[in-house]
Amino acid sequence: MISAEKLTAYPTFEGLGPADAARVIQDMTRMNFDADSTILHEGKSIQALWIILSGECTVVRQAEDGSEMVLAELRVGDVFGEMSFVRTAPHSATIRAKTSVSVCTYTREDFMKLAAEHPGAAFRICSNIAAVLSERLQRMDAWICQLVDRPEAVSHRDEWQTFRSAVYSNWNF
Amino acid sequence: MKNAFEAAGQYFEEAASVMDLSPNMKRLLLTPEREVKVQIAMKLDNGDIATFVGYRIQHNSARGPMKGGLRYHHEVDADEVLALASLMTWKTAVVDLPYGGAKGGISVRPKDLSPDELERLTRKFVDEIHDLIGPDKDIPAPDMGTNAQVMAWFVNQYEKFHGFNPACVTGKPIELYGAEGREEATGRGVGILTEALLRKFRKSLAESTVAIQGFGNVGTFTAEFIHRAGGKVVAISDVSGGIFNREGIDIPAALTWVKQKGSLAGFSGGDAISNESLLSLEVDVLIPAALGGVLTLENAEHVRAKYIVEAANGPITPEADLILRRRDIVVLPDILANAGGVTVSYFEWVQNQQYFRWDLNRIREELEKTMTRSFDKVWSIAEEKKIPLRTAAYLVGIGRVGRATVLGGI
Repeated sequence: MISAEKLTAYPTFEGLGPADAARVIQDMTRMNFDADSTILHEGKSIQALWIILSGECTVVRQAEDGSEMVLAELRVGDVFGEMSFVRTAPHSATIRAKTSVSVCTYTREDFMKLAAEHPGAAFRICSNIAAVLSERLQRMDAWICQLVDRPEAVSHRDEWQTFRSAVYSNWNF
Repeated sequence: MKNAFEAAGQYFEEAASVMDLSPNMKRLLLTPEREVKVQIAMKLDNGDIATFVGYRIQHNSARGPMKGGLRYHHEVDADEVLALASLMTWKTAVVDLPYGGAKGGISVRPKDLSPDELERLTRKFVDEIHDLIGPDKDIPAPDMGTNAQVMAWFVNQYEKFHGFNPACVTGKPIELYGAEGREEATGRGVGILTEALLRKFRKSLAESTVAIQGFGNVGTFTAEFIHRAGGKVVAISDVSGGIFNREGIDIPAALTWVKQKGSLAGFSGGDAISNESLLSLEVDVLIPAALGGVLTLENAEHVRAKYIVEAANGPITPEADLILRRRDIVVLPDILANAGGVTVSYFEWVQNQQYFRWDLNRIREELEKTMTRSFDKVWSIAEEKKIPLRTAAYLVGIGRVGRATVLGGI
């Protein structure tokens, strides 16, 4: 598996004591995926944290018209699955292996046991996840502000249609 | 003239906000397609070298080849020419001619140049811009400081590059493919629409009194039309001052006087009156036919006319327009009222393209048809939407240009 030292270098497990880190590593399961295989399916739900030990993954999401949009790329050390881990909800996106990938998972079930026995360690993991998610939220806010600042980028099509219907209905003399 | 084009922008904005146009659509409609600025260097009669700056700004060609005047005036600059070019886009659309809008000019005091120098200036300007204009691209016409003679030089020089091409400009002399009735067209159009406007209020020219500011090309033909229709022109004026006669001015005598003396100075058909006090006379119709920006915040409250017909471009500032609106004084806007000139220019171009000449009666009939049809349209929209005639005229113009833009795509 991985060393306690390496585990606590990941933001999600930062600050864990050696004993708690060893306990978490013990509970983890290692899994391997071939390139192009799907690790998590958008809409399904597995309550676990995933850490990439080797290889690269892509985060993809299906657009309304069925096409796929790549939202992000994940590398060694990146953690995914936090959203479904803290809240029973379907995965918001699909994670696909870009190369052959090795991951280890830590289930919510094991986490709840840890919380009962070592609340301090569980609190540490929880606050780390909260920090990761809030950072992501901040990026989203900035992105939305950018979109609002240049409305033509998102509404060009609507603008042309609006103008067309205006000059052909209300203002068609 | 600054007022005239600031006003044009403001009136566009007003109509655009009624139509709820987005900022990007407004930018699309206001941005000119091409702006050309050229150097015109030439030798003066005394051997000196003089350098002038010439402009041609092509605003919009969504509805057809661009049309607009060429003015020689010392205050010509890019801002003014652009504003006037956009005004031409809305004007040709309001009267539904298959044209876009353009304008050009040379920054020069034409009175400082000899006829030979003016000819060289015109030919040199054509040398610089002939590739950008033409009967299917952009068709200049006379404007402030230019006339049929300038157009004759213009077409002659253009033909040296492109061969026989009388349709490349309008407002030419009759002898050189000009149209009968082009000279009178703007004034006649103003007269026709003044009558049409009065008719909407169940009145007629014959029972109305009229004051006309400006006794140049537009003012004289307007006065003549109204006089012939039985209207009483009680005041006229030019740069030398004005004449007021409650019983009506003898217009044929005034026309003869001006033709002989060059101005109204010394004409004795009534009491002397200043240009400023002419604007506040108690008359039915006031027709500013000279400069832009004569009715302002300062004097709009003093206007006692019931109707104002804008024969000049932009004689009413936007602030004055609001005051007149509040006082229920009806304003027939410039882009409709003075469109007779460009309408007969269109007839001239059509004849040139067809190698066929219409007689004066046909031109007058077609002019009346075009002007009254456009007026009726603008009037009915103003009624329906409860908006001023000016806003209605802009709505018609912007709507037509907008539909052509939508159909053609970008």
